[in-house]
Amino acid sequence: MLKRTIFIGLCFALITPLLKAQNFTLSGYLRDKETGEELLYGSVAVKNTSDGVTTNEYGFYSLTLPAGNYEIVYSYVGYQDQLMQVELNEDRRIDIELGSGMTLEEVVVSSKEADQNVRSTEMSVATLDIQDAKLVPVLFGEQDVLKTIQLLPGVSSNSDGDSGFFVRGGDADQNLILLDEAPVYNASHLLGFFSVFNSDALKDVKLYKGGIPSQYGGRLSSVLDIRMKNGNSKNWTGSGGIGLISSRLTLEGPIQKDNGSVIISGRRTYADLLLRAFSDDFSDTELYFYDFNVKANYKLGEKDRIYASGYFGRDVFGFGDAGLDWGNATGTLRWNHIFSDKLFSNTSIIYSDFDYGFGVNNAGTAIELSGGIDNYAIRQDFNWYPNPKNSVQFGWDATYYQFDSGTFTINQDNNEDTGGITIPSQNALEASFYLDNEQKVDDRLSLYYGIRMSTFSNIGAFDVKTYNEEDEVISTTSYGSGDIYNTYLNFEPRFSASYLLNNTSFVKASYNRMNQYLHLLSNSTASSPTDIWIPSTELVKPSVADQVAVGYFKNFKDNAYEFSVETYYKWLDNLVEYEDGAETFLNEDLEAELEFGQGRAYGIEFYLKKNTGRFKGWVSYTLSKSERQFDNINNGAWFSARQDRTHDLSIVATYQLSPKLTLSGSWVYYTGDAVTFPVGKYEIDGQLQTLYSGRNGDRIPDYHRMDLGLTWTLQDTKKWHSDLNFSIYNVYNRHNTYSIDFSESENTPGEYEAVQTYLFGVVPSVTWNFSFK
Amino acid sequence: MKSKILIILSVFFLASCEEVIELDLSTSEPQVIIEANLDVADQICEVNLSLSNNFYDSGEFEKIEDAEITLMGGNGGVYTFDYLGEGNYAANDVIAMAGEQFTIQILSATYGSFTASAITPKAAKIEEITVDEFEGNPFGGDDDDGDRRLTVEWEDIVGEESFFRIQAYLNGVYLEGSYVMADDRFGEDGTLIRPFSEEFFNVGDEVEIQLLTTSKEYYDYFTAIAEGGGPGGGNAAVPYNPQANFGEDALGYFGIWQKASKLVIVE
Repeated sequence: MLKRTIFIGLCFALITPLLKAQNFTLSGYLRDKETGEELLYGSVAVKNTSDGVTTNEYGFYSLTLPAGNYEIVYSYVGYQDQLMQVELNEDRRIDIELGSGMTLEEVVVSSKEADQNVRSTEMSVATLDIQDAKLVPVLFGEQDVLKTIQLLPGVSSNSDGDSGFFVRGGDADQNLILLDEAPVYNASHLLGFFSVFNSDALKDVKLYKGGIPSQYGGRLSSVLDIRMKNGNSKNWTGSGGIGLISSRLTLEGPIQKDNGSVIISGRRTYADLLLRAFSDDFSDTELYFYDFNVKANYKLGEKDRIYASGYFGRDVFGFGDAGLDWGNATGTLRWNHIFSDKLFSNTSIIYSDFDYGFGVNNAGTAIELSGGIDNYAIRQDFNWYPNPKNSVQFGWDATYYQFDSGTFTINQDNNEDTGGITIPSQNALEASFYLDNEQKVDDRLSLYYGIRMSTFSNIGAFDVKTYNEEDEVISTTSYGSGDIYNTYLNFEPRFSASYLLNNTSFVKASYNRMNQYLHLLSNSTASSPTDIWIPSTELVKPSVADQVAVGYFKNFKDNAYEFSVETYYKWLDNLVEYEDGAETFLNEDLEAELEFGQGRAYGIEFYLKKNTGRFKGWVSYTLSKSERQFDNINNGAWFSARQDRTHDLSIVATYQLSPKLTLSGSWVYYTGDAVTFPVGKYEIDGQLQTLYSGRNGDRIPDYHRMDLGLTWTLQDTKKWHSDLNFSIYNVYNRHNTYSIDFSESENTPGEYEAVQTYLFGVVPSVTWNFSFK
Repeated sequence: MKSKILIILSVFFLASCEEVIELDLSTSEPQVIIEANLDVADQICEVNLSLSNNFYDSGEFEKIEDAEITLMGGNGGVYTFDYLGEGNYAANDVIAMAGEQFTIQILSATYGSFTASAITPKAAKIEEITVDEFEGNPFGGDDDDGDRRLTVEWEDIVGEESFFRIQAYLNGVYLEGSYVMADDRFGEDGTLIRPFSEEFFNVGDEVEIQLLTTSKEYYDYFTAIAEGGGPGGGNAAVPYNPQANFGEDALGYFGIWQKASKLVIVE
């Protein structure tokens, strides 16, 4: 029924304007004047009207209008507006390059585009300005987009210094993290202290917390769409930085001026080198990670452009004879094709892999453990701009997954294979089709409606088992290679509406349904490379989320300030957890150790941001609740999710003291994690054991921390820029709890006390950054 | 692994510290704790009944002293228990055959009744104990730990899933809390080899290694206990109270085990 309504609505929306007078189309690209980089989600509008479009993910726009003369305003936040007189008596192709507003004193810098946040039907979306993010003080001076988004409303951090995040009470595996469309399965380095994203190589970061467009699917709670830079297509430039524990370098330039470019970016930490200098104890210690981003693009003509991008990163730990390494590799090949000035398409072939390996070689015994996940995907997306009132998107994708849940070998005396176990790998195919339309109904009302149809199939060869209540196998059915033995088909409606109350304020509402066919099983609270991704199967049903959100958005003081308040309710079903005491290590029958349950999360988010002037920053506050219910956990009663943070407050501010000095600071506060503390103790086999009561009924102490930063521009000429960034993490030395253990008191034997571990005291750091042209 | 990384971080960043904090904890009604072991070789079944206390309480655990206990074998044997004091009860001359199921009933006027069953496992035999020098334990360890590691080798019980526990006596003293649980997943029906990874020994130590073949419930319970890691929780994903064959009524277990042992002088 819903599908039919959407279809009929779409037909009407598209046909009606066709019946009017002759129309022509203005199309083209919006780019940066200095670098030639495409500007994503920029605004192209007819002056003093509500007619306009935003550029798509590739900087392309198409605006169809009745024949006539128009004043077209091109704008992008942080850039100077450009006004074009356009005589539209035929289809026109106009590519525009915008210059950035260099000094803050100039007022000509766009504030028009800034009200995009209220005008579009999008809600529950956060875009991160990478330049702004670079000013926020961070741990070890290492800029990190995943940590900056944690300062936004509805997004909370996993733990101190961790790049893992939760969105609106969802779990960590419910975030779809895309790097140039390739899913990143483990976005953490060094147990979470750094993300795999090197800011120097990134162009745009957009987080959808709700109202998720139909082109995205596969995770319940959010989509983090990260796009890499294309590279400067005009001149060769470079940038980099040298910090206390890492250094990075980026080079970019034209392959052929204005027709193609390439960017190469690398980063490596060297904590182990410093450790070795510090003490001989670490002479055989390896502890580092590196990232490598590369991207190239080339125009094959006015209508075609190809891109190739890749990421490769790895963490390496080694202590003598033991070692652990893990990492992601992604690759994307893209072809942009303009079928007509109204129809844009992109075709991508995507590869992503995550794997880990662990090895110990000691006294003639070699132990190795490995596992991971990889996928191959193809997708096609089309943007069709039939008229200025409608922007239609449709497309399809297909992803083939291979799940390698673990291989373990023991080799005694380095010759004879004395044992081992391989968890059979699993294969699956996820395919989907989507269609949506963004429609301006009138000057006040805009609608977005779409549907995503997704399918997921398990593919052999695999032995499917069924289990009894004691987790014992009761039957096994074997399927051959290529056999499809289980398929799910789901429809995911997406809807949002935006209504203009007056020139600067809107109310918006949205609904989305999401399905998730991949589940991350984790047996520790910190993100760990050995967490296991498993597919949905006949037993493990796809997780489902329905979310509604309503919000009020207002810009005031000529868009200098933006304010929003949003409230949401999210229903989660078919969630997966380990049962109590699950045998998680290399268990062939892992599915038998799982529990299935439901969740609910709701809250209200406030956000106030100042966009312009010497003083910029934002305050975000979230009041929320996130709960879970599993029949066999906590006696079936609802309990708080670990990341249930009642209060979550972030304050971020930057102040330009002088043209050369910028001061920044942030303060965060949130309710401590819900955890399970002991209520008693008892003795088994002569050893003390802990008695627990209900699940997650206790709280670790509240978290709060202040960071300060100072960026000092040393040189800023046409050819060369350098600055020093000083930062102090945890200025007032708050001992934020990382974990709490209980142990026998040293002073009073026989009595027990709580011992907390905290990771970071005051951590000062300094980074030298440079760029040259 | 993680602790080692934290150590490195703490050295390098002068961070990752531990400190004692004041933390209020909820309290709980005393729970009944049952430890019941049927030692097939020694033909004795021993039961200890105690109660849990609050986490910050000091002092001894309260014992249950008013229980009536009966053990019934599938082959018709019925055994009663004598109270020995300190919450300990025992039944002697218990004849158990491999495959025979036993049910234990515990009746306390104050705390209620509890029942559990287990099946007698088959016995295994230690083939060999090897001693090797273990250089540089990668996961830490104190300097006064020895550097000799013992590895136990035995033949799996053919044709069935089997469960084991390895424990040790050092110079005649039982090493409390040091045990290794093993199953036959790695090397089913063949030779099983496990290092006794809980303790390191010195040259000259006299070590008696005991290999217990256990019932499944006993194995599962002690595996869970080992993961729980004593007060504060160890590696378990989420803290919980391991339960065995007494169900939800009581914490603890009823286990049946066969015992094999071998003495080595560490060289």
